[in-house]
Amino acid sequence: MYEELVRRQKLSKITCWVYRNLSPYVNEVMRELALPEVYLQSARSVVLESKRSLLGLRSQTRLDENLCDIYRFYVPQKYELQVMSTVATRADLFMPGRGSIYSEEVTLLRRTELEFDDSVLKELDQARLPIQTGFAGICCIVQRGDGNLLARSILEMGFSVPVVTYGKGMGIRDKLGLLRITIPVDKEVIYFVVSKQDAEEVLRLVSDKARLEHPGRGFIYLFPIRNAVLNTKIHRGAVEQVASIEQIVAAIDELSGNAVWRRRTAASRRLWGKKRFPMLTELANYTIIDVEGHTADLVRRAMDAGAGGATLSALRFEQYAHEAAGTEARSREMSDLIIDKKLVEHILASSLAHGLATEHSNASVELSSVEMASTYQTD
Amino acid sequence: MILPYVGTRLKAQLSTVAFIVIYMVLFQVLVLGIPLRDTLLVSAGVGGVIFGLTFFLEGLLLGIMPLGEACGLFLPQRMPLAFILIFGLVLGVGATFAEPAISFLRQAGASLDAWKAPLLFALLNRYALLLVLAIGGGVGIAVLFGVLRFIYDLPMKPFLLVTVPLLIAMTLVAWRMQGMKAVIDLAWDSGAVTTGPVTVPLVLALGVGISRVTARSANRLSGFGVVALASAFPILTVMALGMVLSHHAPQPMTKDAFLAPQNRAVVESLFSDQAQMKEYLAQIGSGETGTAVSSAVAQGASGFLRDSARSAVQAILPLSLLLVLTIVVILRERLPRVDEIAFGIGLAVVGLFLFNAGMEIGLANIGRQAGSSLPASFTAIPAHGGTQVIRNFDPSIVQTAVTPTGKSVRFFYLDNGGSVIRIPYDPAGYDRYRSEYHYHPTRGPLFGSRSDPLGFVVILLFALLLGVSATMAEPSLSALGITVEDLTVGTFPRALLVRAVAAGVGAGMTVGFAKILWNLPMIWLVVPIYILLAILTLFSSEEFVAIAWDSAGVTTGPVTVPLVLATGAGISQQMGITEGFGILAMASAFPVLSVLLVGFRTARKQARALQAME
Repeated sequence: MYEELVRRQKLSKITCWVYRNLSPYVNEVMRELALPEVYLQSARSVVLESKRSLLGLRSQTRLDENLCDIYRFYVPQKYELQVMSTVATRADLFMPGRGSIYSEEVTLLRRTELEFDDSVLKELDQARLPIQTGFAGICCIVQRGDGNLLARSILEMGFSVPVVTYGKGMGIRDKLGLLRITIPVDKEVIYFVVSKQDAEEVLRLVSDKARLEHPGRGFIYLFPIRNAVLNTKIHRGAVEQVASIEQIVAAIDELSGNAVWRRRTAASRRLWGKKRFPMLTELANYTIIDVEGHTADLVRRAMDAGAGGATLSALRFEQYAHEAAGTEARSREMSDLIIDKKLVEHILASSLAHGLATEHSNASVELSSVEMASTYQTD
Repeated sequence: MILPYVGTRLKAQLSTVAFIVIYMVLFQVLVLGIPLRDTLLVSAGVGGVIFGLTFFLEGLLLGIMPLGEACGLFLPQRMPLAFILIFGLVLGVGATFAEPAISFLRQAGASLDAWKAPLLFALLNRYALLLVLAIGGGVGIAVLFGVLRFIYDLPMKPFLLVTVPLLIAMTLVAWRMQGMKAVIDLAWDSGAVTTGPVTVPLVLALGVGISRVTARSANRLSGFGVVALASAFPILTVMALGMVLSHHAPQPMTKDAFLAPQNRAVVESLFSDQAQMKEYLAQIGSGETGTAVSSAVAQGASGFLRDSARSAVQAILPLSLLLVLTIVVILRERLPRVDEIAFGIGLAVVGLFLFNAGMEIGLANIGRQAGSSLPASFTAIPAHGGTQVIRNFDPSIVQTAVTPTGKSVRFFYLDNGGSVIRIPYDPAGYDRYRSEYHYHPTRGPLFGSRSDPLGFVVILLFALLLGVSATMAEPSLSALGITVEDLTVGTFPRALLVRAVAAGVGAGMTVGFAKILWNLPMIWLVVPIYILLAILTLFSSEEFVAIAWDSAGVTTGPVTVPLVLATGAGISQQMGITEGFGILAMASAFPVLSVLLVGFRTARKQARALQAME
């Protein structure tokens, strides 16, 4: 009965993260493309850095953290590659060590459909496109403070540079009454991209590293990626060759159009028994985006309707299509709920019943598929 | 579940407080060689401080900061600009009245010699209410400007680059006015004092909330800067008040002139009524000046606990209530997580009470002990233990020495259980009939005399470490650090900010103590430092400017202020200087410098992260 309240729109969601010093370039592109909705989030990127100790006796590898910005925006699927290529060219992402960009297929549910400026998007040229396929994204949510530990092991596996954001968890905690304050609400969310062939193995490795089989440790999930240009510069330090290893990797990635050649695990050789990490499958990512302070209520309803929990992150909302009015709120909140595919319509109905798409609401729900996930499970 | 929750937080505070306590005790026992008194009381107090800080900080994070942030998020979405500005003004003025540190200024005023600085004395006594209003007005205008800045997303630099020259100019003008010299010190210190442990986190959270909604320029750390303005504007308003009142106050005079009957009418103008003047005159008659600071313990345990509890409630409840009412009644929003916020506010009140009580009998107690014996490092001070008696004293052992100017000095040697010490001979101490000699044992100078710089060096070193270790325990600095870490997603960790600020405060304290030891005029220190800060600000990145200047207001909080006043007062008394003002002003100027420098480093690192390809 609520079905007619929302419009469903199949779009391509592009996620781009760059070091903060490069953000002005991305902002400029966003403005030129006149994109209707862009969500910004602060994040930190983590890379390995070798430092020689004072006497030069032993060199140690430590983590180097830098502030960066994550841009998330939607474009019509037919313009996906052009837009990615334009952003990547302007921010020079084809050069390793500046940022990453990747796209996913999503269904956006809003009161009105998003409108794009076709005249601008059509004009984009599609000339040089070393954009690659064959990747999968992994998102891991852990307790605040555990992020760098995982980031290090991800870096040491050598796929791409992870980004870490801050978020707040909702779940069992919120059913505890005031005693909930003893469970830390602050989480760290780590995003990174691996090649499709290795994805499942990496998922298991990281689950093990983060000890996700224990209660309250966190959550990890794998999502499909359509196209990507990745920051492969996982290591910082003196380069003694004509090209750094990252540049060579990037060049071969570019030549082969994917990263299959970089896979680590042969199909026949499994590192972990399937028994140890029972994977959840047939899942969906149900993301609510609304004005800050309003999503917690919807999440609570969704949890009543069967969702397990959510991760809330603060975003900034930008409208590059037209100058926004002076006092319009720029703060948004994004709640990610990983739910069973079968529950999607049920939870959507509950969200709609509780004011998701009322007249003055700017809220939207984004649906995307999740291939598998792992967390602590009771039997 | 509860145990590890309490445990980790307790441990964090334990480590910050342990640093300052161990340092103060070791300094007193090992360097000055004076045993610690009231050990039991002090331990109880230190325990109170640790538990108090733990509760208070958790209360801030659970109750007060979410409240401020919620208010900041909803205000600009619901209310017209005029209302938000009035709200800011009221919040600023209210925060000042709630601030416990203001009463420290008044206590300092009670121990002043009225004849040396009549204008300063009048400000702190007769016009005390006007003074607090001037400070409150300054803070109110600061919050108002801060909010305006967030809503229109204005940069911080122009604000500072107007305010700082204005401060310098006003200080220079005041310097040339009769009787204003002493007020300059007071004005600069009141700027440092206003921004306390409740105001800072509240204003920070409010700012972060508002600018999350309004900030137009993307990718910037916004929400900072109000605390900085709130420490600068009161300096202006207090100096302005001093200038206005300077025509009504008499010139500095000698004590005899002050007490002379023909000057009665002039002197009367310093007091609000006859009774107050009589009380003061009686006080100086009995030589009881300077006891106000330690009076809290003397008034008995129950009264003292009641005082601590009252100031804790007064600091937290009115402000929290103002915010709750604004959200519920005016903005008609539901409070998010009511139980958590209520619990947090309760925790904060209990924490602040424990902290206040513990501070007074624990840390400030050690501070006073160390402060009173600190001058022993460069001069002789009476040791504890009272008069000593030598029986069967034979005056014929008294010898005569000569000073370089030809004056003769009489002394004798005393074999004190193996070590021979030289004791100056005073004929009044000799009791001819009982053949006894009475003398006061003295300590020091431990590290050279007044002409030898080593004693001073020890004190400056003490000030440096005192500044560093006290700052580590400051709760508002933790609040600022957590906010910065949160907004930078951990790339500017809280520990880095705390360390930078602590180093700055240490350096500032050293300069502040040097000011007292050598009796340097405030203007020589303030003007060059602030000119340097203005230049550095001009070249810094916008986001660090606001954080750096906020650190200035944050540092001088409830841990540092009592310790500085206690130790500073000890030295001032020995040096014969009436007031120990000025240290706090220095302690808040230098952290700006250190944080700006850290900002330069971070900016360079970010640039290098991109250039690393070449």
